[in-house]
Amino acid sequence: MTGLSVIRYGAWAAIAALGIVVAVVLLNPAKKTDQAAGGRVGGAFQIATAKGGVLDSASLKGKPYGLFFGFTQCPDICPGTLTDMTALMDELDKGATAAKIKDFRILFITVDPERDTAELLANYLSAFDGRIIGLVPTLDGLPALAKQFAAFYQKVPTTSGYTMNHTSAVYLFNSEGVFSGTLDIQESRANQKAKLERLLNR
Amino acid sequence: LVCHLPLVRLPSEQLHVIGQLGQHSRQIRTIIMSFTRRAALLAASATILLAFIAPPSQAHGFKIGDLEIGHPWTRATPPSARVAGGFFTITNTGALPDRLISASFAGSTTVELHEMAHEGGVMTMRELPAGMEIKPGARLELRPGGLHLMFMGLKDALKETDSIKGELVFERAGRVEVSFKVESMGYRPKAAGADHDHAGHGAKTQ
Repeated sequence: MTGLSVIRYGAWAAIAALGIVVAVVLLNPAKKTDQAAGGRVGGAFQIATAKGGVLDSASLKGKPYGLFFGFTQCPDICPGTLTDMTALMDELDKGATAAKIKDFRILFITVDPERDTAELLANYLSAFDGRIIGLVPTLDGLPALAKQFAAFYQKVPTTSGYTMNHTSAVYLFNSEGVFSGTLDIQESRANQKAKLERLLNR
Repeated sequence: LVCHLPLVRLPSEQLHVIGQLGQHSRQIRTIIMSFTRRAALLAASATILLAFIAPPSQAHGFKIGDLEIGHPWTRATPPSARVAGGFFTITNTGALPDRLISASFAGSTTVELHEMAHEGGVMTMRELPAGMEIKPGARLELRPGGLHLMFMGLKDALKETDSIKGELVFERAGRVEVSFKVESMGYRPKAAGADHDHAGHGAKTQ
């Protein structure tokens, strides 16, 4: 192989590599908008709040929010997530996103409306940040609501009653109400903070 | 006290480094040496003193037969909460397997033995009707996200700094009274990974 042909092959290889990079870059945003436009996770909802009244998703327009499913007779994940979110919002209150986190809301939807009455849930949530809103769907409305968020929940009988299995992630929605990923308490606090800040700055 | 030994050993390593520097004036070296020796002595006496002063509640333990129960704890609960998790370690120093078959907790009407798992973004919970086995030489860890006692029907919200009595019942070793230290609501035990490794080794040795 002459020196010239090496350069020629090298140039073609470089062009091919560039082509692949361009293709990937061009295709990726298309995928993202696809996901957003598809709106498979989320959508409009109206659910009774723990403090009385109804929360209409339309009232959240212009404000990013988080949403997660749980129940008060949950020993670990639910109080853990609520504690984490309270600490995280407290931290962001003191940071560069202070103005934006003020209007941030976290919706805590009980998957156990049989035992979690509005009054009980409101009392339970009084231990956490006031931006966390308790929602109590009807038992009949719960399956459709879970489906809307691709969430899972299941009653598990035990000797003295029952417990619940449920999706543990916090769903994040941007100010247009578009699903923008999830946040999990098994992630590091730094990771959670970065995700929330990205959501707020979008 | 064995684990504090490296603290005392550290200054001698420093002395070695100082010795290597060699060319510095003998006077400065003596001052540094006496300083590090004094620091070492101070550190050693401080750790000995701390070992006596440290309140037993920080890392308390219980013993029944061949079983050692390490630091039973639970978490403070929000108002209206009806459940809480109970956590501790069980080390079996004997030659025979044993089994935790039931428990009671002064702060709740019932206690169940549960296992939690987190798979594919779903938190799952199941009761362990057969209890929890502790193999000879093994160390079983009850911890958030895994094996735990489920305190059901809490009589009152659990408050941080409280210490609440309970009882563990083992198939072979029998009953042992313990006390659960109430940690903060967001408390997480440290060195989770290290503890898991230990549990794994313990299981393998038998």
